[in-house]
Amino acid sequence: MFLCTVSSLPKILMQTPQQHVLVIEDDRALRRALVDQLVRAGFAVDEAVDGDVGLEKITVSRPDLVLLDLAMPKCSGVAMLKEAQRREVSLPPVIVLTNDGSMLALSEVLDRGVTEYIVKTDTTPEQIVATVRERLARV
Amino acid sequence: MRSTAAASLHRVAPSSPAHARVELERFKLAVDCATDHIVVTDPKGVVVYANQAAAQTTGYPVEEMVGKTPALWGGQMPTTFYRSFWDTIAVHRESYRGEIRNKRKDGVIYDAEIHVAPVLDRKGNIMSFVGIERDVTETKRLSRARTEFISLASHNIKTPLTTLSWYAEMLMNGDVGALTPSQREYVGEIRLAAKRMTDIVTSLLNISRLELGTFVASVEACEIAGIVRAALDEAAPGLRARQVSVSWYADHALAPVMTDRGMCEHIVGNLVSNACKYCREGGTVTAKVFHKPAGHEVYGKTFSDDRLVVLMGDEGIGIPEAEQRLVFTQFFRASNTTAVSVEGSGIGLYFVQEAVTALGGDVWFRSTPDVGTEFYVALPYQSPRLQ
Repeated sequence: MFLCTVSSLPKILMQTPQQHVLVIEDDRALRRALVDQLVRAGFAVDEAVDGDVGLEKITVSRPDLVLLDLAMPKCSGVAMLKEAQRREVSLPPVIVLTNDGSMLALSEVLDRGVTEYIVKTDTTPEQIVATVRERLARV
Repeated sequence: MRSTAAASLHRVAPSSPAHARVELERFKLAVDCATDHIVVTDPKGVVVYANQAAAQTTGYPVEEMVGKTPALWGGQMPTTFYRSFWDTIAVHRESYRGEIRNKRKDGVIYDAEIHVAPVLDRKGNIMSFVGIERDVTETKRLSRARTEFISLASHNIKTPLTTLSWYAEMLMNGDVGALTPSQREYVGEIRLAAKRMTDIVTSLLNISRLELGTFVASVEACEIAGIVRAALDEAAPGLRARQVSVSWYADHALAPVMTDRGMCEHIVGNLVSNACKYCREGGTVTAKVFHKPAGHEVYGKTFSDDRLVVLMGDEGIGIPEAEQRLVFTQFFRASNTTAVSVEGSGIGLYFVQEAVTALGGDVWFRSTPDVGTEFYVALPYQSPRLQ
C-alpha cells in the first residue's frame, strides 16, 4: 500500500537521471514548502536546518544544487560559505535564499562567488523551482 | 512678570542712555539664561561671549571659552566640512544650519544641531558671528534605537509572512487538491493581505536602512519609463475595476539614469499606488516621464543639472491646504482620506522623500482639494551621492 512501483512514477523521472537538490533553511514551514515543491517537480531532495549540517551533507552526498538560506541562527549561510572556502570544499551551484535583498546583506555572498539569489518575499515556490531548473540546465 | 518689567521700564525715559542700558541688561540676562548654547565670536572666530548653557554643553567654563575659537570643542569633522562652513558664513555671509560632531572637555563626543549667523554692519561687513548649538545626542540615540527596532521587527515578520504567501500560493495552485470557488476567494484574500503586509514591511525596512545610513546603492543604468510603465501595468486590473483610465506619455529615446533600480521601483510603486488609490471612480491617472535640461523650469522648480522627471497625477480628493506641509512626514494621513475609506499606512510618502533624497533627486507636489494631486520626481542622470 505504501510502496510506489517504478511503473507508476512519472515518465520524465524514468528518462532522466534524478537531480539532487539540498535545501538549507532553518524555518520549518518554508523548508517544507520548498521540499514539497521540489519533490513534486521530480527532484531528489535532501534538507538541512543550518550551515553546519548543510556543509556535512554537501561533502557526503554531493548534491547537484544547493538552496541556501542566509539568516540562520546556528551557522548562517555566509558562515557556511566561509567554512567551505576554508576547508576547500568545492561547492555545487548555490542559489541564496534571503529576505534581505539589500546590497549590504548580499555583498558578503557575492564576494564568495555566489551570484544568484532569490528574495523570498518577492517569489513564489513555483518560481523558485523554475529558477532551480534553469540553473541546472546551465550546468 | 510682565507687569514688573513694564513698571521698571517706565522709570526711565524710552530713548535715554539709561533706558538703553536697561534694555541691554535685560537682553544679556535673557541670553545668559537661555537653555540653548549661545556663543558670540569676533570676525576671526575668537569667542567674545558664551552663555552658561554653552559651558554646560562643551564642559569648558565660560572664562576658558572666551579668547579661544570654537575649535576648542570642535575639530571632529572632516576639513572639507569646516571649509564649506566658513565659506557659507564668512565668504557668502549667509547663515549656516546643520549638524555637527563636537568633543566635550571630558573627551565625550556629542552631536549638535548648529545655527551660525554672521552679524553685519550697515556696510555689510562682518561684525561678529552668533552660534547656537543644541545637543541632540540623546535624541539621535533614541531615534537610532527606534529605527533598529523597526529593522529587527521587520526582518522577523518577513519569515512568517513568506510562509503565509507561499502556502496560500500552493493552495491556489491546487498542490494539495482543487479548491472550490469560495475557497479560492478566501485563500485569495489571505494572499492579498500577505502581499499588502509585505509591502509595508519592505517600506519600513527601506526607511530604516536610509535612516541608519546602511543603504548601499547598487548603481546600474535604469530605464525609468519602463519602471513606471510596469508599475502601471501591475495596477491595471484594479484601475479597470474602478473605470479609472490612464493617460501615459514618455519622451522618445530617454537616456538611462545611473541609479539604484530597487529603490526606484519602490519609489515609483508608492507613487503609482497612491495615484490609483486616491483617483475617483471614472477619473484619470496621469503619468509622464520626460527629460528636462539644466536651467529649464519644471513645475515651479529649476535645476542646475539635466534631470529625468516623472509626473504622477490623480483626479481625486486632493490634500487639504493646511495639511500640505506635512505630506512627507512619517505617519501622515490627510484628514479627508478617512471619508473615502482609502487604506494607507502613512509611511509611503515619507519613504519616497527619504529615498529620492538618497538617490540625489528631488520630490515635490501640487494639490488642489477635490480636483487632484500631482507628484513630481526629478532624478539626476548621474548623482554624485551615489559615487
